[in-house]
Amino acid sequence: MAESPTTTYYDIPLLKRPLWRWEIAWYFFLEGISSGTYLLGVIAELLDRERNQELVQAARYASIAAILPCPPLLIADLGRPERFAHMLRVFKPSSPMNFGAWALTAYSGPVALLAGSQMAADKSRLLPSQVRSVLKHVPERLTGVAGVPAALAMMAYPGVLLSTTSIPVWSRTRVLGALFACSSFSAAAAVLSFVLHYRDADDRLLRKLRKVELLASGAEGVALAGYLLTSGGGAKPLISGRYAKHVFIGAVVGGILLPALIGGKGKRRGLFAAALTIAGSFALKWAVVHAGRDSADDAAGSHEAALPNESATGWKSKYRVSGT
Amino acid sequence: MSNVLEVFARPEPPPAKQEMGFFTDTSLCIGCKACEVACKQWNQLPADGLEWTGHSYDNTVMLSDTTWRHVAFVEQFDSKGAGRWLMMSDVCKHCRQAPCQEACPTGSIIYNEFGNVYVQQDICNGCGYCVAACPFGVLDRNEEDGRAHKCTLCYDRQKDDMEPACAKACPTDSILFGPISEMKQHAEKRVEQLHARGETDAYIYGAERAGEYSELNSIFLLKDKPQAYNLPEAPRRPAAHMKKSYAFSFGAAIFLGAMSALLLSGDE
Amino acid sequence: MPGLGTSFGRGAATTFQEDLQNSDCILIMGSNMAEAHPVGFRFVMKARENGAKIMHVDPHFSRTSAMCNEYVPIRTGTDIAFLGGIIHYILENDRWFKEYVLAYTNAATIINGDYTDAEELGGVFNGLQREERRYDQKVAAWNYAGEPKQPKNQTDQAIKAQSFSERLGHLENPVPPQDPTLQDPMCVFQILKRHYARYLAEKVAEICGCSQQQFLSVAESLCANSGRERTSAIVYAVGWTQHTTGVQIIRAAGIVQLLLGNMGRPGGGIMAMRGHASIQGSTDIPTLYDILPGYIPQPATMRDHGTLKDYLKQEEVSTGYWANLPKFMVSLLKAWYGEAAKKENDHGFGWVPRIDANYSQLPAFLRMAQGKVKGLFLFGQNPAAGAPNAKLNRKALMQLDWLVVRDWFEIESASFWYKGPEKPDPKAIKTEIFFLPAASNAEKDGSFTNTQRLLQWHDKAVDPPGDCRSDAWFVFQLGKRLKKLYAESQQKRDQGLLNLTWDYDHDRMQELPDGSLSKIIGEPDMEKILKEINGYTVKEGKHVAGFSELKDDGSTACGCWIYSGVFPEPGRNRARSRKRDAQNPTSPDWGFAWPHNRRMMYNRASADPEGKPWSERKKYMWWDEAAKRWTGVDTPDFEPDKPPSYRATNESRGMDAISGDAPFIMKPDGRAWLFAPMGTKDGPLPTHYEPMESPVPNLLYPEQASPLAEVFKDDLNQLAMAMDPEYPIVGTTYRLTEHYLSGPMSRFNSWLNELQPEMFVELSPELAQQRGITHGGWMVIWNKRAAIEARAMVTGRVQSLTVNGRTLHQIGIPFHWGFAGETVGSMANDLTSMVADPNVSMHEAKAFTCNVRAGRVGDADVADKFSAWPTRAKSPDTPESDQPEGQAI
Ligand SMILES: Nc1nc2c(c(=O)[nH]1)N[C@H]1C(S)=C(S)[C@@H](COP(=O)(O)OP(=O)(O)OC[C@H]3O[C@@H](n4cnc5c(=O)[nH]c(N)nc54)[C@H](O)[C@@H]3O)O[C@H]1N2
Ligand SMILES: Nc1nc2c(c(=O)[nH]1)N[C@H]1C(S)=C(S)[C@@H](COP(=O)(O)OP(=O)(O)OC[C@H]3O[C@@H](n4cnc5c(=O)[nH]c(N)nc54)[C@H](O)[C@@H]3O)O[C@H]1N2
Ligand code: SF4
Ligand code: SF4
Ligand code: SF4
Ligand code: SF4
Ligand code: SF4
Ligand SMILES: [Mo]
Repeated sequence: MAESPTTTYYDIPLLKRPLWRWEIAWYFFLEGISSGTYLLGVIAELLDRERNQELVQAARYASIAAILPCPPLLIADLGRPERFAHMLRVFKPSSPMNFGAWALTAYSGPVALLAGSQMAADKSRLLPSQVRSVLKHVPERLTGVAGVPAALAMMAYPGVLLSTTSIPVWSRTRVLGALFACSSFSAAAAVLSFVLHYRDADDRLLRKLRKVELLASGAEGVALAGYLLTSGGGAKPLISGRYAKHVFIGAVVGGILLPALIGGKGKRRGLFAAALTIAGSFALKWAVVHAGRDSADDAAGSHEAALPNESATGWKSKYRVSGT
Repeated sequence: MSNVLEVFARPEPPPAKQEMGFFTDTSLCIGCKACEVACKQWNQLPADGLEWTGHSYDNTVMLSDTTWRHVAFVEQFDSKGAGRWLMMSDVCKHCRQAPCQEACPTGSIIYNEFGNVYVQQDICNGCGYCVAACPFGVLDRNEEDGRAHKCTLCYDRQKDDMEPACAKACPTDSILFGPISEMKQHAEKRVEQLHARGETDAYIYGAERAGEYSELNSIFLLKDKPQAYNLPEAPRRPAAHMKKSYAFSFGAAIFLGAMSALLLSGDE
Repeated sequence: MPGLGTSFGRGAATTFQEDLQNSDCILIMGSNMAEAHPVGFRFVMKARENGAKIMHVDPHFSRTSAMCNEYVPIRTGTDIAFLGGIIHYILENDRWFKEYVLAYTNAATIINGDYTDAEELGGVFNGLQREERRYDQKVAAWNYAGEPKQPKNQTDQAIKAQSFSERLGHLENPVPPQDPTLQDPMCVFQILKRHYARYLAEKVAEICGCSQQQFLSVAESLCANSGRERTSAIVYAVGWTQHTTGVQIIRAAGIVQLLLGNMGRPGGGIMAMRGHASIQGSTDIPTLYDILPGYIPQPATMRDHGTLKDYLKQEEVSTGYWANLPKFMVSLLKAWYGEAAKKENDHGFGWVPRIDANYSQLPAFLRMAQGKVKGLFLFGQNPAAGAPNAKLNRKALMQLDWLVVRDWFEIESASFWYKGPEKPDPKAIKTEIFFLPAASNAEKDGSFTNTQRLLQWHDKAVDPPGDCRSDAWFVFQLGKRLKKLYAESQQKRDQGLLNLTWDYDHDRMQELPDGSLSKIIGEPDMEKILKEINGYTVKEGKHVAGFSELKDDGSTACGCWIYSGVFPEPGRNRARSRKRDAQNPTSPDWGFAWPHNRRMMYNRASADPEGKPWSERKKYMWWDEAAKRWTGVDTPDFEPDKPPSYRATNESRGMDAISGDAPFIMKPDGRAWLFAPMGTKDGPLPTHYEPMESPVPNLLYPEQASPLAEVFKDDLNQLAMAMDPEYPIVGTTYRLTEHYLSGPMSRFNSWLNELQPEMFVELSPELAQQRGITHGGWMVIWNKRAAIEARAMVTGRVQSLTVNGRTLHQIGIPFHWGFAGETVGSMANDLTSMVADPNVSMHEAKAFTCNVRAGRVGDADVADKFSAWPTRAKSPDTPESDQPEGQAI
């Protein structure tokens, strides 16, 4: 029948599919690890550079390694890659993406300096000796502290970016940013834990790190629950869609519960638990980013998500359609 | 090189003029699609394919990067053949506070001197943020040229004191174009007129602010629920909730940072 | 359009579209105006917004129906029953406009006592010669009392087409006997009453398939919105004409409008919506075989047309405006033959080709199919897909020796020899085809005459690309070459060609709007042609100001008298004028309307017999006693200074025979004809007949279908018997806004193709369920002539009807597809047949019977004698699109 269903228009999507794909999922994952490891590194350095030496070193390398693929990923995602610099044409806080671009720019200096300084200290052959000698003079603590706001921003903005759209699965909630931040933090802690386990680092440090891991994972779990609850029907593509397994098996079971059970008991289990957490974080971000498409495709869901409430009142109210 | 730098230059915008907009009166639409074709011709947009949908007479399905006017057809008939056939020409809403504009990281999307939301094609880098931001599903990125496109409200024609191509082509004045204040007055009168005639289902979509969402500079007279035409009943303005999101998000990051500091500093 | 010509005097829309906004009620019937005339529909919408009631009576609920206050479904081909019902309703309830009817129609006129109505003879009139498919007027006696039974300009020869003069009619006595009390049983009014006595509401409902209430509401709305203070208009198009009873349907509408007093009045009239650009122009300056420009009859061998004098004697109508025929004819001959046209040689009358048979499209193509035609020029026509029984048309084209196709695209009619449903073998087809690319309208000067007789000039914007040339260029050059070829000929038959004036060369190089010079060599100067059409004095070559200046002594030349006045002086081409007049709603300086820039015809009737407006609200033209002139917003369609009090006598001739209160100046008695004593071959009064193919018996008369309808016999043109149970479904064809005719002008354009990319058929949910057809799936439609396939559009807009107590299904078939172009699809016209209205040889594409099933052609035994076609694949070699588009981003 050529008749339209009562609630939607031939079930044709109300919204356009977001264009972001694997590049952005990877970007959110990597930049989260980078900013998280950066923060942990700086904290560790400020607390006790000497005792936390291994952690600081690992954090500096992890944060640079994770951030390096990010610009190419971002650029590849653009429709017009050669115009990536247009992101910095304006400073526009209303746009989380613009905010993110500035944050990334601001973040890139400290993260690079710290990593360089570390390489200089480690006498890395990757750097020419002249460069090393310059980098030796980097004021590490100052640089590290200077980069903290940018690193916090890098951790905080991705979820907010997704939230500040019209896609129901992202935008009905206010805690997606927090969820991503927690996930980033736990993945970062796991990355450091993995490296330190691998390098058979000091047990005490590993135990402390384990606590941080548990804290971040726990926070991630709480945030995830909060996200799913506050998203209401919007979370449908994650709860019952094809990404449900990513969320429940990948992120919850694999990324939070299992590592909590098996971690902290020796190198192999530690390595395994850390890897699981990292994978869980990736699964979560992958799922959330990709679920945007399914969410936009769901015509009825999009309309449902746009029903009036106290703050969004809509335009039908003035002249009520009789019988509806 | 000068070209590359030019986009970073921010020359003085032209002085603001009277805000212009559309009033699309669906009660006058005969579904002739002249607006769709006029828009494609004026803007030299390609056809989107030759697929028969069976959705009444709507074979263009939705607004897109290459379809900036789209006529919806809604058949509502009972088994006895009584009923009505609604037609509605959809277009970018030119929101006064437009989510696409707020989202755009490059400043490509601006409000031009006519108060219309305009994508500057020399600036857009195809990040796709506006696509996800628009609550009406208007914008899309073109696969071939990598930029986001939508109705320009015929900025080029307006600058030459011409009315938009779609409005010009509309044979029944279903699409009216003019100063938005006049459009709103006209719309108001029109609804009164229809109500007096017994057509009490008529109402205006988008003329005033609806909670967090701004008024539209492209308003519609509708005769059924917005959903029937694939319009959101109560669109949200994404940026309205951004601060709160940031607060939670930064809060979480700082909390975790601080807690980690505590945990790392402890002597067990 | 003899339906209008016979009733009112001229075969064209009586009003103009802008005037529809002044209507209080509009009945759209047989027209899908919103889809086929969307721009003109603006004025219907304005009327609706002004509070007018808009009604649509149509087999399918279209975009037009969606805009109307009331939609009434009807079985296709039953309009005479419906309109007859309205006539009955008006008469029965005394709703007719008495002063108007008495004064301006022939209601009171007495008819020959021997006349016998169809009511008494089972649906036919007396004098029927069934075998010959004609009425013998000597027996039929439809004429006015006191007149010879057979009027002088009527023939009973085999010629099927009537001359325009015949349609106008001819009277010896312009003041025929009348009974103003309307009591005489032989007066038109009483005959009318008797003829429609059984067209009762319940009968209408039973025949048409609508409900009684629906019918009554339409009838009552028309009545309530007519009279002194209010007017109603009727809009029709090919939903009425494309029937074997088409002319009579229009006649019936004429009767309704006359009884209600709506003719010649603002917001009234009958708006005939014509077809493609300048189709009106191509009847005014005809591409038809039986008339010369300005509706002057084509000389014919089977009439007494030996000399000019004989011709004029037979064709002139001595009373009324047609008494001027000698002036128009002689001026035409002067325009054509110039110097060579002399009094001594009958102004070259002998050179004008005579017709000896019906050469209209259908019989011509039938003859072609029989191999009797050698060559054909196709200028902008696509019979291989667009003409009824396209299959037979394709067969006809295959029998030609040569075929010249001048077109924008390689259309079906130019590619039938290698593609199409017959899967033809090119080697087996002898037709040699010359494809000549044609210029488009923006690439040439010229004029369009639109549906309201308005001439609008267009100037060439650019030169056509490549080898494309205008049609005028082609004809002009062909003429030059033919004249050269035959220059030495002494043959009598060649003298007409040799003496033809053919001097339209540009005096200097043509300048284009951008200031550059045209690169086309040999393009004729269209304004020279327009001057010839307008008319000029032979000696001085001075433009005439209008047809009243034309003479019958050879001192004036005029190529088309009705257009005279369009170019009254050098440099003043009124068709080019585009002035809107805020003061005057008729905008007299926007283009030029024939005749003599009259926007509304018969507008004398907008005033009462004394010359005063019927009402203040409906004021239009009136008699200004002080100035002794007719005045108002339009040009009077009347002698401007003839007072209302003037009275003709039976001795009066010419325009003197038209009284001051007789608005229909083309008719020999100055009155509109409720009853047509002559002019329609198939009866003086519209009578309900079923379409040639119908699953329903005639519920009013024993006579099933029109006894005069033309049937063309051919193996490929078989008809289903009435009520053939194999074909229980009624099919009708129509247009979609998105496409144009058989499609060449839209299916080569992706912007239009994307809007309606595929052939579909509309059917009701009930029928779909019955036959297991799913929405969006494939279905097959077949009848005796073909089987085609289409996507099924199952929609509540199409409803089953209850006809004769039974459920009847109708399906709607758009006819825009074919096998050339960017989108291809089955042709509706493979299903339609070649049968025709006896008056105008119009086909019946709007009504035939068929059957349907789910599936595709060739996948079941039922229709396997037809080949499976088309494939979904695009035809090879089809250009993506020849329109500039879509390169911007
Ligand atoms: N977009 C577009 N516009 C066009 C054209 C085109 O192809 N496309 N063609 C032009 C041409 S050449 C012409 S002639 C005109 C034609 O213009 P229209 O006559 O308006 O065109 P159609 O759609 O063929 O038919 C009109 C209506 O008649 C109905 N009908 C069929 N049979 C009957 C009947 O027996 N009784 C009644 N009451 N209604 C019936 C059909 O359902 C249809 O709605 O349009 C012109 N305008
Ligand atoms: N089943 C069914 N069949 C119908 C009808 C129907 O309602 N139902 N309607 C009938 C009616 S009303 C009509 S008018 C006919 C129309 O039938 P056709 O007259 O065959 O109309 P088209 O199919 O448009 O073909 C016109 C051709 O002219 C070409 N052309 C356009 N402009 C020019 C020009 O300037 N010069 C030249 N040389 N060529 C040009 C176009 O490209 C196109 O190929 O169809 C009839 N057929
Ligand atoms: S409708 Fe969408 S694209 Fe148009 S201005 Fe509003 S947010 Fe932007
Ligand atoms: S795609 Fe272009 S217009 Fe849209 S947000 Fe990105 S830069 Fe702005
Ligand atoms: S205003 Fe211009 S760009 Fe926008 S829909 Fe109309 S024609 Fe297209
Ligand atoms: S042009 Fe006007 S009437 Fe036609 S579809 Fe568009 S809005 Fe409707
Ligand atoms: S195509 Fe031309 S003639 Fe037909 S409705 Fe449109 S403007 Fe009028
Ligand atoms: Mo036509």
